[in-house]
Amino acid sequence: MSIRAPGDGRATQTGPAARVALPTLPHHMTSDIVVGPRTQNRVDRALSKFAEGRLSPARHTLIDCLVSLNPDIARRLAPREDKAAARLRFACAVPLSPYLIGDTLEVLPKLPAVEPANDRAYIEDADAPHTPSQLEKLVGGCVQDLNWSASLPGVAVHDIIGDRTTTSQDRLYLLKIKAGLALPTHSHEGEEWSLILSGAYRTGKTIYRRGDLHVANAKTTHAPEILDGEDCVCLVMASGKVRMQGLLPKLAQAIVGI
Amino acid sequence: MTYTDTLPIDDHSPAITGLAWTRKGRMTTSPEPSEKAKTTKRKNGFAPSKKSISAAKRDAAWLAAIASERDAKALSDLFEVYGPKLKGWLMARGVGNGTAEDIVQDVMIKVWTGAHMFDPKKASFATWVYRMTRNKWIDHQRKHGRMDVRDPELMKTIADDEVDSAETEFMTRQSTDILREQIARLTEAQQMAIRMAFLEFKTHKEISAETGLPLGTVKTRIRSAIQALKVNMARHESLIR
Repeated sequence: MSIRAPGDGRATQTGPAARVALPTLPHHMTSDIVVGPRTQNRVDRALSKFAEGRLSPARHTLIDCLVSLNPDIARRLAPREDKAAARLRFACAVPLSPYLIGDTLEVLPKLPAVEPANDRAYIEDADAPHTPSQLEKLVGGCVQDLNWSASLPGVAVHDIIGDRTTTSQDRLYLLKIKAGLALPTHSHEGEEWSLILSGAYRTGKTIYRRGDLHVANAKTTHAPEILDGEDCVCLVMASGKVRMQGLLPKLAQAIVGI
Repeated sequence: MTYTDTLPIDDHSPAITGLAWTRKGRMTTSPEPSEKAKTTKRKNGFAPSKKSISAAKRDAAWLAAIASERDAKALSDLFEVYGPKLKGWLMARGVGNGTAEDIVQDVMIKVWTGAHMFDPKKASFATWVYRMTRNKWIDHQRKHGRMDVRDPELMKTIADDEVDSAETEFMTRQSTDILREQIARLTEAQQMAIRMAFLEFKTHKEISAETGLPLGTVKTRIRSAIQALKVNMARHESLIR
């Protein structure tokens, strides 16, 4: 899918919402991409579904990480979550078991009193952690210390939900690609969402950096080229039938010739 | 439809037909004009009603009591107000009674431990607690690999999916068994090559590095193993028929 028609530059920018960038990062780290309206629509749809809890666990986790990395996305998500929460009003209330509240009160942990966070800003947001906390919780540690399985020179994978043999559900994995590596041209047979956690890559004229979401749908053909300097770590969601003909097997085919 | 009588007959406004376009593009019977104006205003503007403002204040007070005084009564009150709704929300998504209560309980414990994190300026308590419930539910789906079959999106996917007939499935399973059996009959070296290449998804180079064999030997072995398998499988199939 073309993110931006060639040559139309910043003209496709449809206001501040169209920019997927990280204002908290220094200038050289911010994204200079203008994500076209079509991608915006897709991301907006995903955000709405996310708010309503209609995404698969893999997609949900990815969007959750995107929201914590990208303040612009968080801003766009907020009204959608409010709306979804407001719909609770229409949910049919089901009476709780008679002892549920009592039982819960009994198992409450003893905690010291804390002043409520009325004026305190979220420390998490300001700090811009290297890895979203929910992701660290899910993989059980720092991204750099994971046991990466290297299937190809320069490319390493760490599966989070499902693995390469999964076909019935969305798959979620971390992908680490060496700086400066150019991947061969490949396409996808299902949707592929990549959230860049560190490093950057370029496909065509578009550069994706930390906090950017790259949405590729079926029939997208591209050849990502990792920028020099830092290894690129992405959180990737691959859906349905992409798996067997996905990025890695194609890579394997192109590079190793299996 | 009393109000339509008062309107001129040649007016094709939505009111006369009793139908109106909603934002979702569906035709619905429009209520009294004045009433309609009222509802649209509230819907589009999302202006919180007086009731919801007071509810927000009440929630904030409860949260503050939980955080600063560790007031279990406040949590119990919150539980009573939000528990049944959250449970209903979960059960509408196909979650069983017990699981729904487990999730709601987890959420309420999280409200207790994280009450100081709640910032009424950032989001309402309803949004906050809804978000926690939703995330817990997704988490539950991830852990138990369960999909909500009532989800229309999923239904569509399932309906569109090519489903193998029982016969095909049986044949596939049978041939998988046969294949496994045939692999077991290969020589030790061939078996290893097959296992590394097709079950562990290793590249020829990796296999060569791991086993210490030259790359050419690895390739030859894999090829000869596949050839042997093909011949055996073909023989087996001709036996069946």
